[in-house]
Amino acid sequence: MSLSPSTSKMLSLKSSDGKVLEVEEHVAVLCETIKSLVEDGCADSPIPLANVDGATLGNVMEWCKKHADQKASADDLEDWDAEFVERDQGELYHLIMAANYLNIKGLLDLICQKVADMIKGKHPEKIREIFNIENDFTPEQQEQIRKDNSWAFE
Amino acid sequence: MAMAMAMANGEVMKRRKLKNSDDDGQIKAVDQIWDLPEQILHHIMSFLPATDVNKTIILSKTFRSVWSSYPIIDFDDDLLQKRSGLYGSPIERINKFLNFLHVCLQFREPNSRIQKLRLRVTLSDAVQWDNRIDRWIGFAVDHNVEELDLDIKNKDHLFYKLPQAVFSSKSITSLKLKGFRLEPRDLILSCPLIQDLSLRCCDGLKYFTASSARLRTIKLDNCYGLRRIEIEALYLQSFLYGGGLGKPCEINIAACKFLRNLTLERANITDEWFEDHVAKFLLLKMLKLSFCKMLKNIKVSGTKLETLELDHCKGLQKIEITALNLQSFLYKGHSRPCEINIAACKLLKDLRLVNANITDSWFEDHVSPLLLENLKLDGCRKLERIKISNKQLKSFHLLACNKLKEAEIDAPNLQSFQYNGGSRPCQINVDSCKLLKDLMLVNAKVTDRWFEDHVSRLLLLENLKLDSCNMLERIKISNQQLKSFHLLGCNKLVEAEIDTPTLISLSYGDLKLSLHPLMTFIISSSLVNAKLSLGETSLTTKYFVDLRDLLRFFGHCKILTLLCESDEVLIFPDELRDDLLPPLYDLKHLKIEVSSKSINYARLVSSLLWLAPRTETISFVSGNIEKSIKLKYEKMVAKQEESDCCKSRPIKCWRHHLKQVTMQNFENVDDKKGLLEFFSTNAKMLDTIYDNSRVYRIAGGKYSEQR
Repeated sequence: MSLSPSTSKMLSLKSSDGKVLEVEEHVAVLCETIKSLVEDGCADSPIPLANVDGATLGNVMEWCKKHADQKASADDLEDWDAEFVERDQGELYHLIMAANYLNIKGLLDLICQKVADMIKGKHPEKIREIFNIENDFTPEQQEQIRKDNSWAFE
Repeated sequence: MAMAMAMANGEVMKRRKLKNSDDDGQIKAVDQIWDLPEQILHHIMSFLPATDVNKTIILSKTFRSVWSSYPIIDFDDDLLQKRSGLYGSPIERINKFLNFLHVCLQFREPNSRIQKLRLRVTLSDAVQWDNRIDRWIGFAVDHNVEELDLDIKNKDHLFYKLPQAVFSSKSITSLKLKGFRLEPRDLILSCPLIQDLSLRCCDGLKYFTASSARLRTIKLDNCYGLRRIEIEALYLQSFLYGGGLGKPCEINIAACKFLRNLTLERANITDEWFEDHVAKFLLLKMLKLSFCKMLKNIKVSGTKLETLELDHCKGLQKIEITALNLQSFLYKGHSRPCEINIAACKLLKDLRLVNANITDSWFEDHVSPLLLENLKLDGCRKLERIKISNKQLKSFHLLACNKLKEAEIDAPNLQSFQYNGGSRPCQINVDSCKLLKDLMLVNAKVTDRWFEDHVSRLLLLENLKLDSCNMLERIKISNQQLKSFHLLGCNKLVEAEIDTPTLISLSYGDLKLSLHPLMTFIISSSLVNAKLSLGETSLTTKYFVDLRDLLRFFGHCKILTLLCESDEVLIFPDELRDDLLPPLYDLKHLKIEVSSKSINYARLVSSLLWLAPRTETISFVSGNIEKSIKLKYEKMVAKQEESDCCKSRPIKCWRHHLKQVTMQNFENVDDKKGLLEFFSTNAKMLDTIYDNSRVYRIAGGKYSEQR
């Protein structure tokens, strides 16, 4: 099936909080989940996306639109992506969940890479601080952990 | 820096939370990254290096459980050792490593799948075998591991015995073993799914036989005692053999008809073998032969062949290449003459001839007609006069051709030119090469005048390196596109004026301040990286004054790197620190690369903080290890008592501003102690020092660990 931008029709997407977004088909089909609906001919009525809220859906479609743009160069996309991921953790969380649900590998990898970069090279104390992770080991367990894991952490 | 950003993100998050409550009238709980489904957390972990993945075990119970089902297991002790230096006795380290293996295995989710197990460790004389390693291998096999990558080094040619478990695996598709003693059993028969096999530095195999239609790649490198190889794998694509010092090995791979890549190192192959095998691999795309000493006279044909490398095959007397589609050819020779015929290779794009016994007339007959893109001539000592006229040529390296008197290069599209001259002068004409981006001149007998006439005309020049051009005295560089400039040991040079708006990196090396006249740099660009290497010298007062004067030219760059043999050359005497003004007030990032192993960090840091009193990071690089100190300052509190250290100074020194220190990778206890003491006694505002996972609070000039 060929989807050229000029002949692309519009699709309606309905978010979990009832917001309806009109998106060009060639942009929306970057989501594998939507693509298979379109291919199966089930994309006529507004497509309900029960797991994605309106704000996140807007962000996701912004990304898809940029990445569906044939004119964007690789360098250009890289810069744009770097800016796109500059978000707070709540938004990153929702983007990951949405990218996973809508099956957009490029976006999922991008955000996961971003989160990985926030962890990379940091010591555990800092990682806990950044991600607000509660250290739920008892002091005795912590002492034991420190001993057991001295190879990796000293 | 990344840390600061992440914290800023946290700030934003809090603000958004409030904003959300305004919009919706209710507070929305902020979703945490660690609430993501396990499968997604695993995906995030796949973007992390192994050390960071293993770190998640101690974050919290949730994370430990996420790790316990993560399908890629990677324990690399060698990497960690390189990172953390030589701290602790080897036996102590190995025991810690093995203990860690043991503990991790206990956490493992019993029903989780293992896709890959990678284990890399150097054992010592005291530990030659360990149950904890074998148990992991057994566990992986039991859990249907697909990729097994085991690299166990033992001292003195002791080999690790391959656990029996491996021979019963019905799931392994990729098996890489290094440092193992293998049984004379057919691995491929035992593990029939193997596609990729690599055996390196293994012992115990006298005969290697493999017969399987699944095999795609086989590497047999340095397998001691190997005498015969027999492979019947029709779909094998890639085969590598690397011989050892032992007896010759017979190789029979004639049945692998679809072979594409063939690499033979130190193989005892003869001209007859070459003809029987290589000529029959009709799909062969890449052929690399190195140190195959018995080859004398070879004919290389094959219409699919694209890459050919012949490296130190010392017996070669004649090479006849009729591979019509060959694109890349490397020949590394020796002093003995060898006849090379590449006249049929009309499509050759990359040609590299190293120590080749070629003459001017050979060059004219063979090289001149080619439409080459890349040409390298290195150590071709018979060449005297060469002429190149080629519109395709993009890069040309002309190195150590000592007899060369004249090189006429007419290559209007040349982008990169490297020249390393010999003892006698050589006339080089590059007038037509107006598009040059990279220019490297080493041992070139060029004058200031030549430099001005030629280099300043290169409007697109991005990278320039001048090394040992000992006739240069004063140069001016104003190439508008220049990004990096390396200057090394041009010992007559006294002034470099650099007026280039885009310069990112400047390195100035082999500095012997006591011998050289002091260089003046006039830099009118926003330099990002500057690198200075300081040579051996006598530590006189004049030296330190000169060094300070030189450093002043680099106060405005973003990162300054100083390279030296020993830290002594950077320790400014106390009386000079009182008399002179620090040269690097605006510097934010200082990097030190010291080759000597013994460094007194506290003493060095004290001097560096005098040089650059507002630096935010100081890092020390030695080999692969980077130790770093991050410093956070705070504006001075007004009521703070006056102290004696900088009463007469308009700007107070770092001691009055330093608030927080984060040290990373200081493994040695004494280094750590020295720095902790140094910071807590000197910095008056300091309250916290982070050291890897430990936190120290500072009060009254003393530090104490916070539990």
